[in-house]
Amino acid sequence: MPMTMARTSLLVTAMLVGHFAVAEGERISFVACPVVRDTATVPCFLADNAGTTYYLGIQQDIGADWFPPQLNHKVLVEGYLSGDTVCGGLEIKPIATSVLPTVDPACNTILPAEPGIVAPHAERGAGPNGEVPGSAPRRAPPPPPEPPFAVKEFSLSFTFDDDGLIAREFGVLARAIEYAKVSKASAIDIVISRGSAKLSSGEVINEDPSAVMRRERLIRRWLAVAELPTATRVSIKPMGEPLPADGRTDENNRYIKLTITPEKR
Amino acid sequence: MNKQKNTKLRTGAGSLLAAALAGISAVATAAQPAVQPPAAQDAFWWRPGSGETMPAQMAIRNANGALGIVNADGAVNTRGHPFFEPIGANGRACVTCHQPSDGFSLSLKTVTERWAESGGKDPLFAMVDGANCPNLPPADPASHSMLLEHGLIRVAMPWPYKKQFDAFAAREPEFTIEVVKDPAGCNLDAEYGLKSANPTISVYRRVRPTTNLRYVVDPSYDLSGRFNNKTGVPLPVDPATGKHTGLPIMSDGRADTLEVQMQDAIRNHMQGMNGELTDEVIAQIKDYESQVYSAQISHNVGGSLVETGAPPALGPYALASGRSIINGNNWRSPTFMTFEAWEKDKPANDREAFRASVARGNQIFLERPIWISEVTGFNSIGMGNPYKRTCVICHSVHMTGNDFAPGVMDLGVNNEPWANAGEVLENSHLPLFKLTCKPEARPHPFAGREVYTHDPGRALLTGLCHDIGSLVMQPMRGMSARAPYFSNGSAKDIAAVVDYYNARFTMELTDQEREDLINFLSVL
Repeated sequence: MPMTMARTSLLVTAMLVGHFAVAEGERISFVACPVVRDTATVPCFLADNAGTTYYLGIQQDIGADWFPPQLNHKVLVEGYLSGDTVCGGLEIKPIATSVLPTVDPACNTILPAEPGIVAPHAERGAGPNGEVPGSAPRRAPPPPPEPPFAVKEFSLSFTFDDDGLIAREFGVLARAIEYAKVSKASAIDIVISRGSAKLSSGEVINEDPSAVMRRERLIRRWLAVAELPTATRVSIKPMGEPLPADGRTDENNRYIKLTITPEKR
Repeated sequence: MNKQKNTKLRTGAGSLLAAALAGISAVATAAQPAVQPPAAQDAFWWRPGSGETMPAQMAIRNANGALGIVNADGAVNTRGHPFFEPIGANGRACVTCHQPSDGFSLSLKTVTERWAESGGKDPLFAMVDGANCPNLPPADPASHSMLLEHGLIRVAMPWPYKKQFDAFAAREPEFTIEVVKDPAGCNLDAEYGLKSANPTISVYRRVRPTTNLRYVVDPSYDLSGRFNNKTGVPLPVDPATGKHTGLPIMSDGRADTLEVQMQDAIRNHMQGMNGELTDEVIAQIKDYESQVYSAQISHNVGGSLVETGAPPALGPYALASGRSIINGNNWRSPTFMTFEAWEKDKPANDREAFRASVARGNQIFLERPIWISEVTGFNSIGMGNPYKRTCVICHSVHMTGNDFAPGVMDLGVNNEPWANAGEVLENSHLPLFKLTCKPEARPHPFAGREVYTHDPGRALLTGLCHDIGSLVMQPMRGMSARAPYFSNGSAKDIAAVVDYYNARFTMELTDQEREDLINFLSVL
């Protein structure tokens, strides 16, 4: 049976930033339990690795560029140290985080707000929004594609072992499909990657093959409702072997790439 | 069947009402319309085929006061009207399960009274779904214990499904289902159960209200270009209009439109049509449902909820004139607007004290951050887990409090470990299923690869582990008229709803705050 949550929110756990030399711009990559730090505004998300506390980001919403991790799951953290300390942790920026799919009840720590620990400014706080969404002018949709059409590539990125499209990728896929339709694509060549990640410890972890299968299923379903031109040839190539990890840009190696070839005129 | 076209009676009262309502601009004008509410009458069973005229406005007593009903198009001649006539082959009408006294749902109180009055012979107790299982002895109250004791209707879902639900559902289910416990007996039944010739899962759900539907399925609500935020797939398209819809109807969202819901009800709850379900019949029902509003109109202690100066969102008139569908998760058009008129530090009497309590309840609902956690379809979609926000982040449709964002969520009322407010699932009257996600599937976001649930919810349609236990959120109006609550009726009263959230999201409510929230919900 799934565990019964026993949150450690009331534990006053002293989490100190480790005292060792950290170089700005240093690559950092690890798997750990996320830790939530409450503040007077929105919570910060932290993670401990090898005795050091890192700051990952703050609570936002699905319109944001970065999505926070989830308690009850470990998180894969990949990025570069900024040299700043934020919310009690060394800031990693830019950062990529992946919620690992296995439920892990041990990842369950919420630290209480403490004087002196302040979250960075949040566009949206912990209460209702300041304005009515939609009261500001809606961002104009990109103009429809116009000729001349050329071979064009669209890339959808994923987090480690995941097949879910996050909010900002919806538009990428919608634009790809529109481009294929408007350009009367003769071909859509799709490559589905299987990624890997080299951790700071030297360990390499590979995405599960099922993640590739699920990404393939996702794109096939989208294509099934896309109403593409009947003449469009679609090829889908899922990768069997993981792309090699270099420990620097591994977060970019989890993708679906669509190369769209317009109709020849 | 009688195909007499419904005549909308524009009575004098109806015309005055329409004029009063037309004078209101819902969001900008935070005020109650100047309408004289009707005198309250006792709750009653609306008998299908009675042919009575439903007035333009009504007030019907319940335990907390009275529910107000407004027919915005004026009084309704129900003779020959397909919502009110027993068009089903089993003698049921739409109104059988969508009773005006119960806010167009079906309260447990009404069910038990109906059994007593009819000796269990009312079509409400039809064996197809008004019994725990169709092959039980019809006259035995124990055969109907789900309905008689918990207000639950049986919903029979073929399993595994023979046809993929939509393009984004799994072709083959991602999980297997075992029946762990079956108190009602139908899931293990040789004729109707999971191992029968037509394998079926029986789940038991509450009836959803067919009122205030403009806040649920407003055809003018533009979802074009929108995606299902909770799953990242395109929203379904209504074939009749070509517009996207947001999965707002029925517990598991299996109907994209009211038309589909009607077909489902005719087929499954009415056991076929006593006649023909024509476009005209569908249009009549839809027209009726699209103009009827209901909300609590008075409270035993709090008095009139619609008098001049009362909080502007209360009562049915505000609903009839409100704008749909706009987001209430903000300060400019908060879900239930403002209760400032009732705020009082030193109330002079019980009425003022009650009203001040309601105002505080709204303040908690709107402003008090809580830790929202392990809600699939919310914490699992990029918000982070936990998420520190207020109730209104999810209860965000202005005026009704259902979810502004399309899609389904798993609050936890059906799944371990949150079902039954922490009680042991095996002790429940509900069936208990064990769902095991296959190795190639991504597990359920918070319950993992093995999920114990009373109701797999939308997953019975999509076959996706992610959807196990996920359901469509309900509007919050007229609650005093339609206990019990949650899709599985597990909250027997409003206090139990508050207690569930208090435990679920560790709200740590004081006794006063708990009472404030109960009072607030009781006047919606």
